[in-house]
Amino acid sequence: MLDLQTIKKLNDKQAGFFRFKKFENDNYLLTNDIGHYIFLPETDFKKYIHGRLDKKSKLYQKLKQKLFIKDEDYLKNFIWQYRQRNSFLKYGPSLHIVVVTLRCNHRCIYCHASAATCKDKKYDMDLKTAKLVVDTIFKSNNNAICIEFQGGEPLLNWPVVEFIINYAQEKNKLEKKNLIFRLVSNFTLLDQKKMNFLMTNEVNFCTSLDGDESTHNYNRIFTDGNSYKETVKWIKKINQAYKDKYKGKKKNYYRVGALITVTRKTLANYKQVIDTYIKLGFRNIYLRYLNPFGFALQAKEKIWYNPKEYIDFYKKAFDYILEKNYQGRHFYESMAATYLRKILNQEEPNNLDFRSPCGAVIGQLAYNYNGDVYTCDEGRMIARMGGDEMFKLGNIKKNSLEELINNDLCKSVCFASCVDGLPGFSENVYKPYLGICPVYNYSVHGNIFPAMKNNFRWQIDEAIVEYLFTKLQNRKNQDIFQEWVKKSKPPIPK
Amino acid sequence: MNKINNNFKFEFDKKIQQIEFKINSKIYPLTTIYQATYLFLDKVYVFLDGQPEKEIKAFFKLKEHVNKEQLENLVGQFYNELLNQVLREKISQANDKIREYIVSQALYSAVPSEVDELLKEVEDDWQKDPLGIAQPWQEKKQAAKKSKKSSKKVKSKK
Repeated sequence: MLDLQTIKKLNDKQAGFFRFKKFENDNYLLTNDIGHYIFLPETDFKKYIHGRLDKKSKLYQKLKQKLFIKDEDYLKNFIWQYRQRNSFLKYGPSLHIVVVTLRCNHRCIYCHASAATCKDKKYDMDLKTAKLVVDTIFKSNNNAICIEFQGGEPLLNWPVVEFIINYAQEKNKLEKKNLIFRLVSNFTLLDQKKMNFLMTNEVNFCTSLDGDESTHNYNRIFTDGNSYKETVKWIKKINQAYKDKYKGKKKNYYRVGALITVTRKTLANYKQVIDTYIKLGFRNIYLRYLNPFGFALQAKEKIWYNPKEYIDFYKKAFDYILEKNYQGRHFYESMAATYLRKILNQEEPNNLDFRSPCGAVIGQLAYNYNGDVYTCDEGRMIARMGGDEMFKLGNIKKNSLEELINNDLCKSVCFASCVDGLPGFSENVYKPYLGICPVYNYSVHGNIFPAMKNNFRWQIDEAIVEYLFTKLQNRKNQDIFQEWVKKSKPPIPK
Repeated sequence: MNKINNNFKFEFDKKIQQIEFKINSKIYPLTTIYQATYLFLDKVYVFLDGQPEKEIKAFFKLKEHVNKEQLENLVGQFYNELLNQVLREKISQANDKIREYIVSQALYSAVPSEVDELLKEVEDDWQKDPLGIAQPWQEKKQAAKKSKKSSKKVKSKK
């Protein structure tokens, strides 16, 4: 057991900065600022902090390699790795979310975007605004640009989707950026002609699939037909088209990406949900929890859960996925893979919701149908809910990109999401892997700097990372997780 | 008065569900007490009082009713956390300067400042040598001779 005498003998000449936590099996988990980790039994932990480890021992060498020991190369290596890990800070926004319409043909019970009805054509983006959006996007100093079509249902404003793709492609002949497109759609308005156009332009397809038919249709209400059947029909069709297109040319080609929003209904159905994904040929599932935006707040009693209920669900679902892997099936959970890339490879996967500082403004911008620009899509959702424009940066018709970015709001969200200085984070052993969302905090606590211990999202994120570390102590799992990390890296676009 | 063992003393007022700790602030610096109490904010409401140079009183008002075992666990966890925070604080203090240096070198040295850019411009201009200062005088003389000769040739052709 740790005691004051042990602490007094800390050899601060040898031990570099680390955070730690004692696990139930008496192993100490140590992490450092780059994200390296190591488990040490108590005896080794004490030897390490007292500087009594044999310099020739394997353990000493391992600690040295992972930069827990201050030797002659410590500074040089630490600086280099720290710079690599945070290199995203040097670039401007890469993800550009374009809301081409607020209209939607679904009425999902949790709709975070508070979609408008199909008849409200006033919520469509016009071509003039679309052109300005593309012009603004290309002013970003980031060489990697992703234009993501969101809504509402973006296919309801197809002419603008088509225009943006054509205009951006044309513009890129001069700009020569690494340009990709992503369409987030329920697919129910897709047809062969649209699909061909999107595939020719290498647009990535993303959809919402909430699992098996009964869970999906319960969450995603569609009065014009069976949402599950329509979505699945197009998933199969697009995946087949990708397969035919890249047959013999590429191994790691795109497939349709799918998101699940976990509601109360999903909690007990986790096996059916995962089985559906596997049956449809998905290689991963993203067990995304609910966010307190849009209709999700109104349907609280019907769909919400408390952190403990979600964490229990996640652990059961995770174990079920792991069991599939033990049986030889390569299938992973996406949130876990994001964290594992940070833990095992000390990478920053640039998942903007789990980054510090988060992706708001400096990683992404959200362009509303009328040209209003928000810090992120969540910021736009807040405005849509009750007209609270706390996260509005300006409007492309009035403001330049520089004006949109170089302002106090951008600085505030960066400051609020930089976990280094936040109470509860700076000493937390999982700090190198966690991120927070100021918009989420504002929505729940009315404050972008809340007491994190009482935060629903923080409790869940911390529990997931802790569970991963529990599982990482098993050698067999380590090999599986390495495979997940490899598989979760996105394919090179062209 | 409740006791976990002889070392750990605390008072528990069952009526108002409040635990009172007396913490020796010479052993546990104030920062570590702040950090340790912060970690219990989801379970209790916290109030700190006392004399920072001698003894700190921490009042934990429970958010939910607990049984005897849960109460003892909570108290034990708090004492362990105080100890963990002492070590964390020591590690943090010992590495404060080196961490600041790492961050400044890793992030700021990679971004060229305005001064760096101006210096680069000056360097670039200097390398272009517009006044020919860096050219050795022999080369200059030869070049001058050559240009004289070629100008004579041009004149004779005319």
